[in-house]
Amino acid sequence: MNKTLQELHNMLLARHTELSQKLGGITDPDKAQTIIMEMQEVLHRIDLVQNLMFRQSSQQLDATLPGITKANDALAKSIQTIENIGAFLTATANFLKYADEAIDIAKSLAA
Amino acid sequence: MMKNTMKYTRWVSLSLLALLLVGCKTVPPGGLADFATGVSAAKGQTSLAFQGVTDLTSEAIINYAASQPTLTDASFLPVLDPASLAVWDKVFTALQKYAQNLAMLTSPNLTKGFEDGVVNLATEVQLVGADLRKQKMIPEVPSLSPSLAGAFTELGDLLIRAKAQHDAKEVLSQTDPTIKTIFTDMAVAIGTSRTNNLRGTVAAHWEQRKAILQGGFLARTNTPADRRTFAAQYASALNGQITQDLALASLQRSFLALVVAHHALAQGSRPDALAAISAVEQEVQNTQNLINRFNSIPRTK
Repeated sequence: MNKTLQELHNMLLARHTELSQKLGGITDPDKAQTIIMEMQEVLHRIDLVQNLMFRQSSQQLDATLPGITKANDALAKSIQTIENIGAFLTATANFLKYADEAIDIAKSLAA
Repeated sequence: MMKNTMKYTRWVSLSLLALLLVGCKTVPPGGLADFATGVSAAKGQTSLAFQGVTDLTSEAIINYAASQPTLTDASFLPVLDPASLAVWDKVFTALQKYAQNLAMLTSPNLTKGFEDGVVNLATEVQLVGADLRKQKMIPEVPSLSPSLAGAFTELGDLLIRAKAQHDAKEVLSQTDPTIKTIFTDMAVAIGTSRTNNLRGTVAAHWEQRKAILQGGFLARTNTPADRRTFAAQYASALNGQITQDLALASLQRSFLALVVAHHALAQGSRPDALAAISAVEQEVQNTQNLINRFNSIPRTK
């Protein structure tokens, strides 16, 4: 994750917390409203930076997809190879079944 | 004499192979199925957690837009944009498929197709042989002796399992660095405390909600009943803030536990893998409980 963005995000979060703590000691509604508006402006910037950070971390995740796809392909190939052994034996058994039928036909023709 | 020698050779070969298999570190049975369950649970919980974040932050975005002199798209930038959320979903889907394939490759049912194939083949060999015998094409009925068929099946099973274990271990260790990167990045994106990343943003949104309630509480026209309403809403917001943060923290730990579990599976270390899988299960359950608790809290806007 981009360090600069992260530092900016941390700074904005710290500023927002500072304002929130300041609000806790205020009894004048007008002053409180001013601080709340200020907090809202800071929060909007926190959201903007968070959006950028999330986009960036998602791009990083997206870059890992080929690695997982490659692993999936290797696993699917391995599973297929193993299933093919069973399929080969079944095909051989089926072939013998047909051979058996051919022998029966040959037998009836010869009789 | 010859028959005995063959039998002896066969059993020695099988025993050696079995010893080889036992000697190698194997992927713990069931460990990969549990890992797959952990990945699926993490996917579902991430989706719920992100929905919670979107629900929380969209209110503040509307408040901000309403405070601006003009109404423009720029005021409505979401904290978690849909395109990025789709990437997370895509990565999780690929991880689910990966974990399921690994579980399938090491499943005890893997050799069933082979075993059935051997039984079918042995039956057909006998049937064809009997027919050929009737036709006087061969002097006697060929058959796969039960001990030979049994040994063949056993050897086949062992070879297939050896191949499956080898392939699974190879893929596990090759993919381990990527899995570590993915889940570590996910954990970083969530944040290590309330003062950074997504957990920090969520905490700031709750602070903003509480600030609005604090402002309302101070209004000069307030009656004691109004003040009590604000106090109750503040308490609810405080509860929501704590619970949502605990759920995100637990989700973050789930990601890190999945890194440890995958690494232990790749190393073929049974005790480490079992401990790591157990940690994943615990964390996944904890996250689910917290998400349920968070969703049950009445919302105040």
